[in-house]
Amino acid sequence: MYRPRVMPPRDHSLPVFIAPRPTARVLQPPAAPLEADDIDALARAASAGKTDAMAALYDELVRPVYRYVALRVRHREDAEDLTQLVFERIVAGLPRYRHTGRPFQAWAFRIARNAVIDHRRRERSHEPLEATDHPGHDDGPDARALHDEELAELRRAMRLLTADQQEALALRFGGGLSADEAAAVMGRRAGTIRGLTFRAITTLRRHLADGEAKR
Amino acid sequence: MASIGVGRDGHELPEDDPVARLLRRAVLDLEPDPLFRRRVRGEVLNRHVAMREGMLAAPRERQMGRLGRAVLLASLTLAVSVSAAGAAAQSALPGELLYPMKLQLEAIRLQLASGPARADLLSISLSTRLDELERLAAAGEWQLVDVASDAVEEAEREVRATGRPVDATQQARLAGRIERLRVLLAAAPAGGRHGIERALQVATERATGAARPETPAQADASAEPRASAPPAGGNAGANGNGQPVDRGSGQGAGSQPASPGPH
Repeated sequence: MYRPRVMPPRDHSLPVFIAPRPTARVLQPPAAPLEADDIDALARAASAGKTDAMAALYDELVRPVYRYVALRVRHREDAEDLTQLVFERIVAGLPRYRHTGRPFQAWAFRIARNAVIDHRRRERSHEPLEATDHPGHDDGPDARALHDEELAELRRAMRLLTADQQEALALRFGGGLSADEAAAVMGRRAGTIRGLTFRAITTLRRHLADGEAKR
Repeated sequence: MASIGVGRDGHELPEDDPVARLLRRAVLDLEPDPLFRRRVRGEVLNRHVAMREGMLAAPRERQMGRLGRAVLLASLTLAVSVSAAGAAAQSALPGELLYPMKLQLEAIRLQLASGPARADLLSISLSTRLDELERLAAAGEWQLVDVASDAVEEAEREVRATGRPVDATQQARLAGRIERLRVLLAAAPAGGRHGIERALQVATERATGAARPETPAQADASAEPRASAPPAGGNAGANGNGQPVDRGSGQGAGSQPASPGPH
């Protein structure tokens, strides 16, 4: 017997946009950081209009860019806004990158550095490593407390570094750049960056030791 | 083991330095929020697609780059054109298209020059104006000769203001010019004589070193001693009708008679 299929009444209210859920692969960090040549190849493909290359480039760079920016600003919101701005500028500047031949990472971090400099100039707030509102790991309460205390001490000590030393540390530890790459970003020589890193860490060690002795 | 830093004394900092480890742990805390990453990822990719499809305006930097290149190209083209036109303008005569450019280039050179160089350039300008007048007269452009004579007088005033005396070489050249102007004057129709006579007067005064009054008051003041003094022989100019007129005191022993003939 034929039974007509009864369709449910259509809802004519506001349409519902369903954003495609990103796959787990997208959100997972890559197993190992890509080599500089691979990143350059991705950038060339992205500049040629390949969106999957752009996606891979974003996935590869979003963490280091965010970490670099977060080391240089105080608030999570600022770090997020600046990270987004950096990627917008990267996309906008991709056609230009194709002609430069510079390592893409150095080029991208130069954009990030300029964005941070502009931000700090506007904010006039030069205490990026003071206690910030970045959340930490999901450790237990004791471990978390110890970790927070340690980090607070580290941040206080980092405030005593020169601007160049802070920049070098942010690029190398936040951005994960080599001395050569950081040198390209800062417009210095690699030897200068190594020297800045050495002096910054030596200064940090001294101040951390002083703080420990006072306790 | 690889080092992350090198001191001035060559001391190397190992990768596993305790402070470096602490820094790495601190950095691990700086993890972007997954929702933020997902949102920005979508926006970045949308922007990338829009750029690729031409739906999004080209970045300003790129526009500026193109604009800069266009301006550079235009500047080069203009520079080449101006150079070529400037070279062509050097031989331009009053009434020609490039003549204003010739005057402008002279003005620029004068602005850039200072001291003795400026006096030299003004002297060259006077010579150029006299050349132009001669060429116009030779070409039969009598209406323009009158205009050119105004420019000659103007140039002569500026040269005189520098106080630079006329040297022997210039005097010799002026003598040749006076001869040529006399010939031109002889051939000029009535309507073209006035301009040549004015130029002749200027050339003569330059050659003899005679000072022309700057203003009517100065002219009056200088007229008195001339009236009482005996007339200097042979130092004559020409009036508007081409008749010889006495132009006052002749300065310098070597002044030669320069009165033009009636034609």
